[in-house]
Amino acid sequence: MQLGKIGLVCSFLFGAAFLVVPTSAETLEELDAMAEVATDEEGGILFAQQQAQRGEFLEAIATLERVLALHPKSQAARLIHAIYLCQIDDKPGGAAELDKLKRKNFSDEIWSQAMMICASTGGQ
Amino acid sequence: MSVSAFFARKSVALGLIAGLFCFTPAASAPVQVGIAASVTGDVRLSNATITKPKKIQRRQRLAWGDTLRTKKNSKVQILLLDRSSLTITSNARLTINRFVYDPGKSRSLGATVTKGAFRFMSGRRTSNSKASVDSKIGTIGIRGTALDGIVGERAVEIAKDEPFLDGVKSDKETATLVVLRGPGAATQGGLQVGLADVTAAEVTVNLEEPSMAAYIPRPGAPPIGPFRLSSVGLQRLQYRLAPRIHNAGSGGLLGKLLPAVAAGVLAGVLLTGGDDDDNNPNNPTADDRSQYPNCSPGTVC
Repeated sequence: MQLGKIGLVCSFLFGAAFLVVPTSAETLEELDAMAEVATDEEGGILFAQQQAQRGEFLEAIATLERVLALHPKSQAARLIHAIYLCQIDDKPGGAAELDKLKRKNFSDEIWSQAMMICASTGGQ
Repeated sequence: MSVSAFFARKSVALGLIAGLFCFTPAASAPVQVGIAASVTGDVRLSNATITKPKKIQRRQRLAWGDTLRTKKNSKVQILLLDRSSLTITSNARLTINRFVYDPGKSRSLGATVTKGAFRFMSGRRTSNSKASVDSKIGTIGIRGTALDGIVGERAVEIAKDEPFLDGVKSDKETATLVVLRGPGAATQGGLQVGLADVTAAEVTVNLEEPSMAAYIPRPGAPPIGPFRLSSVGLQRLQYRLAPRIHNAGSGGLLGKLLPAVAAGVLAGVLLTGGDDDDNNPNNPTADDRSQYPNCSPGTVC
């Protein structure tokens, strides 16, 4: 039952993100959709993940920065932002973002994976 | 009618016709090039028509000649048609000088930052992309790059604690610090490695690795660098570019969604490393979920 609910949430979120947000914005209206999706913390994170999956890391980082502008407390957005910075080989930048996070808010598994991606970077 | 009177009348008529062309809507319509994708705090726009800066909201259309000013604790991210983004933060000023975009073929951007911190992120790749950001005393040429810069007093504050810049005389109004953020040689996703050229006083400094920086201390001085910006300097610059975190660790998705989201992201990152074989300028269609194998129904991803 719980799994079903989660799946429903996931499907809804993905459906919303896919339907609303274009993957190749080249009009102002499409840019509007990209701006709007980032007003929602979950939707913005999911959209950034889609961009990253396509290899659009710079755009994904920009999306997460829009999310963080509106949701500066979002630990999820900040962690993923840090990881994507590491993904583009900006490890010092990723480390600086990880330093803003509190280690205790993450499971050992997640934190160790983040550390592995941002190898030799810090965090508290 | 004398010959001179005839030509005088003809000149007036031609002038009127020329004037009509100049003031027709088509001739004066601004070239809209992007939007304010994120607006936090007090952000104001002015241009040749709007001489008294007006406060803007998210989705504000932006055009050639627009100048954006931010006040304290404010931030705006400009999203351009090629999906490049330009962000300025508190107490900054930026003007869009030009932006020409021919999808899949070329992109040319020119902007000026006269004050404050800024971040540029390249958008869609084209075969002929040019972007430059000017400060009052130098020019930054950008190629496929994530790049941060800061102009003015805050740049001097960061520079004065950089060992490489010890003893350099700086101008608090115009000093310009630029640091390349990426992508570096180890980037994933098949991204083009970022490069930036910083030019002043007819001298150019090339930035070719993340964290490499150049500093133009004052008018008429050549850029100093490249040098590796210290971690403290980078953190101070990021502090200027990133919103503050209040009560970090509370609320939001943390308890509900974060572990799964992060796990999904990390798994995806580790397993796929992004799509680096996509030579097609058109992205996958929105409905093609098979592109995202880590996001199957029944999982939070």
